[in-house]
Amino acid sequence: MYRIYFKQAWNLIRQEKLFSLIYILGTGLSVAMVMVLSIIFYVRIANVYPETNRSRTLVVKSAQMKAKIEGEGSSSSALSEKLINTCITPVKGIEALALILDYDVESNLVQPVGTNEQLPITSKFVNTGFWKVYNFRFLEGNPFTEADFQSGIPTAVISESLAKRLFGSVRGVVGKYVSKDFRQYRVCGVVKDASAVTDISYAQMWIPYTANKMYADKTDQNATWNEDGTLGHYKAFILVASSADMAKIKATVEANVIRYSKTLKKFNLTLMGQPDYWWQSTFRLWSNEGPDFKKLSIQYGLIFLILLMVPAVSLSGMTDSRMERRLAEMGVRRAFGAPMGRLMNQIFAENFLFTLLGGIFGLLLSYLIILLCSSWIMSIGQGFVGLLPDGESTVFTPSMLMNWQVFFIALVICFVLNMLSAMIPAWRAAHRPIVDSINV
Amino acid sequence: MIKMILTQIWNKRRSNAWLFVELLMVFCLLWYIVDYFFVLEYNKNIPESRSIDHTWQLTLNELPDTDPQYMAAQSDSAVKEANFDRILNRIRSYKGVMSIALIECGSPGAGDYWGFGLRNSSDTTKEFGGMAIRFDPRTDFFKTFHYTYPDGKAVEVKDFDWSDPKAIVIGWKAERELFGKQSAVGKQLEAKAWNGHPAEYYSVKGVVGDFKRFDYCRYENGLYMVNHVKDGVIAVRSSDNLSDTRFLQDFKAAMVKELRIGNYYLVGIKSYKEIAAETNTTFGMDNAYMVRTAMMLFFLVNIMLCVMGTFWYRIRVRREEIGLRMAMGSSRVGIRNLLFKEGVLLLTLVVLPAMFIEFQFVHAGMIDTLGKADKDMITYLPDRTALRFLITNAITWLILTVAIILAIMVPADKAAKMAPADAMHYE
Repeated sequence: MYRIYFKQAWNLIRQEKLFSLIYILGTGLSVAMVMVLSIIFYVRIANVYPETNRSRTLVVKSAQMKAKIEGEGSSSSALSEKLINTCITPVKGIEALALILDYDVESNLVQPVGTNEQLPITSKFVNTGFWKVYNFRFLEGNPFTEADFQSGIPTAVISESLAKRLFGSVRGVVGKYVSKDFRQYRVCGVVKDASAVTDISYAQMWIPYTANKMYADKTDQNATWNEDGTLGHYKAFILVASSADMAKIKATVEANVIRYSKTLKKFNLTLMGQPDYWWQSTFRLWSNEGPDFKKLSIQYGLIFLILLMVPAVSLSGMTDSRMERRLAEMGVRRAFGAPMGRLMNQIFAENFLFTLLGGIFGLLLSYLIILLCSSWIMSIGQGFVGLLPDGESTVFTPSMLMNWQVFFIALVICFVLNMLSAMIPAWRAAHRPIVDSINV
Repeated sequence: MIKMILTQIWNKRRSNAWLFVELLMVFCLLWYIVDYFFVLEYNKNIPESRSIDHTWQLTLNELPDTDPQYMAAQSDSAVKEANFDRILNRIRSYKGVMSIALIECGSPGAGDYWGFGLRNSSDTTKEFGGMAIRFDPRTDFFKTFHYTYPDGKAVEVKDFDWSDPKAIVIGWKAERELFGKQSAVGKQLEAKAWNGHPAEYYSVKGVVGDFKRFDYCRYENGLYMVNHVKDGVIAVRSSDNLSDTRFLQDFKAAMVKELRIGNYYLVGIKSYKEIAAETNTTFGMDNAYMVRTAMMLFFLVNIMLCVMGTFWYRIRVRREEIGLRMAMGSSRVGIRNLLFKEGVLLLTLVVLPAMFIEFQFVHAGMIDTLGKADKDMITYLPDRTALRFLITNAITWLILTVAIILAIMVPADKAAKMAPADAMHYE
């Protein structure tokens, strides 16, 4: 039966080329816009190289200290090592803990040997747990060792592209030195490039945070606003051994923080709802307040609704016009006993072919939009936008764009759009009195 | 004519209902975006009393003690200061450099902001907050950024007496806020006592024209103070006669070695225009601009496709009518115009209900004005809500009219080219 419907729809497309083209373009545009947003969310949330453990990761980006006396203010920032070691590290069930320094004191310039050039790069200061939480593929060498980390030895893991830019190859690079901000770092490993869309772990050079000059300078740890050195400069990414324990570990960390807070005399400490699940953490943009998920749901829901409804009304109008021309056919079918449900099914099925063709066009268009706007598109919905230095760019890999999840989302969008655009015209065409229909 | 088209629109109300709803939705959504761009463009066109054309920011750094070229003797504070002065002199004497400024805080275009609250000492009810700009008076911040007085004359640092450590120069807007129509020169401003710090008093030495913190903002209250800056940001103005590319290329080539004094080295040079553009990106403005433009295009293409599709079918259904009109002497241009008028009239019918819906947005306070200060002494056009509402609706109508005419063009052309005999055949 559906074969006949599709055959009929195919003939309609061939007969009314311009109309069909307009319809498919309209559908495609809507699917493209919705897919761009969906792909952005997918890339931010799904397990993508090297952040392949996102589904098992809990995130703590900041903490807030609020004065117990009203009106004496509050401070918020990333966490101190002390707070992390007291409230997070001892929790059972944690497979690894990545700490990333969230404070840039250096200018991030590399001095290639034999030139006067200053090469701007992205660097990150991390701990050894970072290499367990994030699955970077080592092309040569290994991560820096725990001993290197503890002693603050200036060692570094560099990316494949930085190795090629500095040494012309990724082979034989281990043991060589890279000058960053006129300080020499011994290369201990080279990893396959990651994309800047995985911005939490993305860098060209990863250095033990104990080797940062900031690490020795702990003046802010003794500041009056920071009782007991609670606030600091580290973001914590907790890899949970079993995803079934996520909620338990989250609750344990929260309980530890409450206990820690009670030891403070002047301030109350809060993680503002953290640890976050990974997807939640992508909406946490500020250190002093958590995301308002109700507001976000309304905002994004409204955007998706607009992106679907504006074309749906337009497509409904076109479908309705098409049905107007086929009223006589509908009338005859009903006069010979075709039930209304079957007629509606037929209209849905025929329309779905149009929507599906539009969907394929829309998906391809969304890829094109993402690739053309790759430099800024991932910053949609973010607060401050990080800039990449010259020579680095945001790359979307085929696996990020073409996978069953993305195709499934596209198919669901096609179903929804088809439903929205064909429901009223189908109902109206099928419920028209037979005499009216035949009388056309 | 209009009555006849209205009758036809009514007779075809079934298919027009879809078009009406689509036009209504798109009109409201498009107006929301048009309003944003209207305020944005208005703000961008507010003239400033300074210019960042041909200005550059130099970044210097010091070698770490781990570097083989590091010289411990050069790290003594007196030696460092002398080295820094030598660097300033070398930059100043470089050909093509018209002026330099050593800035402690308040570089144009950058994202940093040092807020400073002051009040009129003789009328403490008048207080305001502004952006503190602190520079070294041995250099000329005003000349480097081509500041002008409110009357348009050029400002130079030597125009003011900086011998008083509490000397301050303020912007014209700040003067209006604190002193109304009176001159602020010679008056005293007070920074209130806070958290154990005593109150401080500043003496106003002059009033200069206003600037905008970012090009999409309105005027900022500028508060200019001086300090002996030891190693701040160095700003340079190059000659107007030199191309920016040429200056950048030559300066870098010559000064990398020239500025390698003591442990100092030149990290880089960047134009203030580039810095301002980067700040726009990091503050999410480019993003907001692109997303809104994309949405605007999306709505327009949708409405065009909807109109094109509906009119294409309409013409097929109305072949008989078109044939009759031609037979009765209607020209091809007349047929085309009839369809255009039908589309534009349908859009015009949407305007009033759309304005009613939009008014609810305005009433709910969903229309923010970009870059508006808490209390603006100057009334800008976007603050006149009714006028702005009418202008933005008129712009929206105009944009949609163009889109609709373009969309009808294809089917209208098809209708106009129809042979009368063919068309009559259906009748």
